[in-house]
Amino acid sequence: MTGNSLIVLVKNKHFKARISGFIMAGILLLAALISVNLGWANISTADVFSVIAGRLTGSSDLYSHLDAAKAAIIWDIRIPRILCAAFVGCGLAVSGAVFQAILMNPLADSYTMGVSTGAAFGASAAIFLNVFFLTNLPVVLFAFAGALLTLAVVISISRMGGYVSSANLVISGIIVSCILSAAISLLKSMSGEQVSAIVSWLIGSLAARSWQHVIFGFPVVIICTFFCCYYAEDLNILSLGDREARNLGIDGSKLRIIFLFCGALITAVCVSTSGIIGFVGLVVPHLLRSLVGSDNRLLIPLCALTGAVLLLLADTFARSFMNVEIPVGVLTTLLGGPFFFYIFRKRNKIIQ
Amino acid sequence: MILLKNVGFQYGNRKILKNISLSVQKGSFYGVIGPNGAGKTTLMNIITGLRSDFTGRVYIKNKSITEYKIKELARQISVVPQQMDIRFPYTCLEIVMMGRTPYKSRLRALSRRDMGIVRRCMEMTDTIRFADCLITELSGGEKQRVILAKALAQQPEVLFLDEAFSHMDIYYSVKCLNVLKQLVDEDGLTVVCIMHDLNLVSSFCSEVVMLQNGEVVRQGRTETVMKPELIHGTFKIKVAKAGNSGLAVLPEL
Repeated sequence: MTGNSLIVLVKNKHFKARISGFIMAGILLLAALISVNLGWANISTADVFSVIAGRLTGSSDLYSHLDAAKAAIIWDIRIPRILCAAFVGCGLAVSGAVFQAILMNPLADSYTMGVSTGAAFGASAAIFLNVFFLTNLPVVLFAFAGALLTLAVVISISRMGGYVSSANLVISGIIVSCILSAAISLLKSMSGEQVSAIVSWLIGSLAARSWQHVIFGFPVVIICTFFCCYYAEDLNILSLGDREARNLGIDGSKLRIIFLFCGALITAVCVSTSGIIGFVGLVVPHLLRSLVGSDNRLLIPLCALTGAVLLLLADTFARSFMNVEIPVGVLTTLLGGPFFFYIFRKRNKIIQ
Repeated sequence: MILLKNVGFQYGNRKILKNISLSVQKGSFYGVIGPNGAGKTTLMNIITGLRSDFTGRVYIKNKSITEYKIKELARQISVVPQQMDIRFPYTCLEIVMMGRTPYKSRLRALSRRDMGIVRRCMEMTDTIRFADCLITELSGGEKQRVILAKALAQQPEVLFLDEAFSHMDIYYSVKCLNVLKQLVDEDGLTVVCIMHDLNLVSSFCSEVVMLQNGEVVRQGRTETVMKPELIHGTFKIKVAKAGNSGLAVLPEL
């Protein structure tokens, strides 16, 4: 094998990833277009596009012939929901890939670190206080704060002699996550009749998400995703362990904290937007790894697109094809769990 | 090249290294030997900058190791650790290419020259046929050769190896040692190698450092250290000379 053929090997791989990326982007666009046309309100495709075109160009006479409620369904209900599904799916998949690399564990995601549970606890606490003490606390911000606080606690527990190892992070993440789960159960049991307010938030759903959610979450997820793409090469080296990172001239301990913060930020935004949506963060990176390999420079952009596609499709399915809307978090877990089990078994068979 | 002055290290009250002074000359092949728990790996961790909580001084090219930037150090030294478990299915080519990290800037692809170095290092370790294989699917010895290729691709001035041949069969152990010896003789590479096989130490190393209980008990030219009576004193085994420079371990204690 010559040097040139090695270069060809690398180029082929990048080419394959780029093609997959274009295909995924195409599917995402297509899925969004289909999704915006689906729903209980019967609005024709032409009307849908005239609303979008009118809103985007700022000329309201394009859709003035429609009644205001229909225009609002398109622009203020369906589109924000589609955008939320896309950025939450993107964020969950990217943060899953990041957490897997920094924790050096292909089975990790934001739940392993307790960050999601922290967000859920923050939200539950806010809902609890709002119901029983008639306060008016913002649930989204509480979820956000809960996630970041949990991260801080997990890092400080796992820090030994100024050094944060991935094994310590996983263990303390699981412990903190267990404690917070118990605390959520406590809040639920104390809520009595009002428990449904907490439960319905905890079950991940994208129903009734507004432009506010999009404006809050979308930029954070996009910026963090670009950050992760930029430092993806360092993430590769970090996934070989701290010792090897140091050997190759990279300060693993510092970088790990930065990535943890970035992953937690994405998770916090996603969970505070949609509640708990399982398995996207676990399944998407895992699946793509068998397609394009482990190189995070290719993996992370593809995760972003595929995660968005997956959650958008799941949410569209959840809201359009059943008589009752099933929460998308339940759907992804119901489908993702067995699927994950399948790839897990298949992989073990290969190793044996 | 490398100078150690009164280096000491302890875990709590347990002294692992006591007052070690050493100098490593450029273009030599050093073997570090000693019984289990002698402090070999700890010593290597200190010289390679992995531990900084030691006493004494370590200089690399007349500059204290604590003054090195992490990336700068990565161009001077490379380490092949005792164990390296890679949990993600990278291809072997990707792993060896990572060895060029200290020389490349972010978002830049490796140059043709870099790829030439990568290819040469994979050829030397006979791993080029694994280029497109997943590292997670190789055997222990094959994996060690890929990791050696990565360390060579890093083009260090000093290469540290900690039991880097432990899973290789004897053919590849000898082959890889020959490759290293050639790099030492022709390119002025410095190799510091922790090894257990005393026969290979006598055959390939030009200098030997013998450690016991955290102290250097003997150091110098291989033929002055690898003497049956000195080895018996440290390892409590009997050896006999074999061939020109080899040693054979005898079964009786």
